[in-house]
Amino acid sequence: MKSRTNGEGLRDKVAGANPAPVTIAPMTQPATGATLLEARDLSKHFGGLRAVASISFRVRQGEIVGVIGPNGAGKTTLFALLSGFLPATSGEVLFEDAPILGLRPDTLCHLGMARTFQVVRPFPEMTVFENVKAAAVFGKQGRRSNQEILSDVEEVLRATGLAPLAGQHPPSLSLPQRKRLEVARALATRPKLLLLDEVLAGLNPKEIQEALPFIRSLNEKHRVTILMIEHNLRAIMGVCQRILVLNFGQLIFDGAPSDAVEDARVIEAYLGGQQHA
Amino acid sequence: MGNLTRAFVSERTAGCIVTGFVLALPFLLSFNPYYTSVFVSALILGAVAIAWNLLAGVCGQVSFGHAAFFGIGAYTSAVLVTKWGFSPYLGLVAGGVFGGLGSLIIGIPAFRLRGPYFALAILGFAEVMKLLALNLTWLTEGSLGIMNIAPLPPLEVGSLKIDFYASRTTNYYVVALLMFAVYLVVYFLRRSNLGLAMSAVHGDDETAAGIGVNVFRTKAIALTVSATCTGVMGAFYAHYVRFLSPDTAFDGYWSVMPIVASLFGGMSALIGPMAGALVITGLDEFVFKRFFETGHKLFFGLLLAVVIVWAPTGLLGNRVGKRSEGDKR
Repeated sequence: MKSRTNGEGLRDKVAGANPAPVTIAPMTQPATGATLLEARDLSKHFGGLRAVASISFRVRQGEIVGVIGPNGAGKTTLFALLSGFLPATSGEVLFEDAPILGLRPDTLCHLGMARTFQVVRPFPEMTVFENVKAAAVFGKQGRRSNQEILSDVEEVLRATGLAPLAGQHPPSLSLPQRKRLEVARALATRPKLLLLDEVLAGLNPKEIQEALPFIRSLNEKHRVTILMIEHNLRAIMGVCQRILVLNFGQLIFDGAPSDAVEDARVIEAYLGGQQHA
Repeated sequence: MGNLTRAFVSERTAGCIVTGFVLALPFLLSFNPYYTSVFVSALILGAVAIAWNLLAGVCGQVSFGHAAFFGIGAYTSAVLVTKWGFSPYLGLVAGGVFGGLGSLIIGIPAFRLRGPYFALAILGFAEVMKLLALNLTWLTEGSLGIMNIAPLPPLEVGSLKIDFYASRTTNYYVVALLMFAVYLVVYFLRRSNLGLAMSAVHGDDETAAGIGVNVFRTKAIALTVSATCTGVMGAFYAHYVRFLSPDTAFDGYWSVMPIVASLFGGMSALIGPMAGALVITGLDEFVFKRFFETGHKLFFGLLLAVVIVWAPTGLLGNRVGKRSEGDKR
């Protein structure tokens, strides 16, 4: 375990992270769509701390892109910048070739970008049904008939497996169910791009195993492009076509998951440099 | 099923029960003018509390200064009627409109603030309004107050003449009607999509924004509707009491007591604040005042402490539920 120059260490870590096997079908289809989201030299400074330091990347239509990195790498800050919850210090973000920095989260939602939160935030006083309905009603601009909204809600509840729980209040749901609700609510806004912030965190291997095909089906059946932050490396390796690796606010890798585990900078970020080992 | 927050009584049933009680109350008090006037005040308070609770209980924005909108409504109507000879009925409408406009003046800057800071901003606004009423003497007569405000003129329905000047009972039923109107506004607003947005903002305003709710607009609508209803009640108060001074119209009572009534009655039920207003008035009148003639108001504080500690959801809190969609399936 001392020698980590050839990337074996990270492979070990990936393979040995979960004792229970998580079988993941390899992703084969390459995404060739137009650029949906593009960040150019995006930065966020908190005083002297550079939480996000001139990051540039693109997400193409139809892709599932993973964002990984050690704790404090700036993943969640990056999401907050993209989704309008934090103002950026400098840089540019384009969504469908239009600049979106400075727009409010609700405007971004209307444009077709939805996010989930790392810590689930359901509306506790509203039933599961109402939680999803609120998203269906307000997620898109323009009035839609009640009928359309209800059928949308039904469809989302069915797709997320929450239909039997429609009348429950969120505090009575289990964590995986609440995570599903978080995704259901984002999905009900009919997004083109879905930002998932650690939707798998806190789930056990069996639950993750169930969640992965679900995420993939969002991408395949609902034609949603996905940008997801994840700590579970095995999950992200299996489900993402491309990953971005952040470390200390910088983008240190952008490419195929299989190449990431061979990349010297990624290995150093995760396992420490040779000199420290 | 197995849901702890399951309702025992629907909001509609609770609303009907409380309204029925309000309608029957003068008979129970055998039309005693003193008690009737006590409960006219209770109904004014209850209606303001229902309006306050739209902002606080439904939309989650607590205001410490509803006296501002109450006073604006009262002064608007009093000035229009005494100085420019408007009909008092028009005064009620104008009171509501100006109460609503006043809320926009403070709401637009104050909604940049959250929680207690927002509440304090409104409290400050109420003080500013009181000072304006004191100092704009050409309009408000300052601390002398406006005297001899015309009562609501008699209504003639066929051969029936309803006189608001002579009878407390007719005043009682007018205020009961106004209270019911405020309740219906709040009731239907919450059932609408706008009500859904308000509940979402109450739950978590960042997430609400994330699913496309215009948070600022939603809060502003809740505040404006709440302030308009409060303004109408203020206008009614002016024509009922027939004397206004800055100290009575902008009294802290109108800021504090709606909160007490709402906490007491339960903020999750729309009719809760009304029930709370009736119960605290009844307790005050028939219990506290009997035994402690001076300082009986101290008991409101004690009562509030008891409610907050032992029944934080209020009298009707867990017993009245909203109609939950998806519950029936």
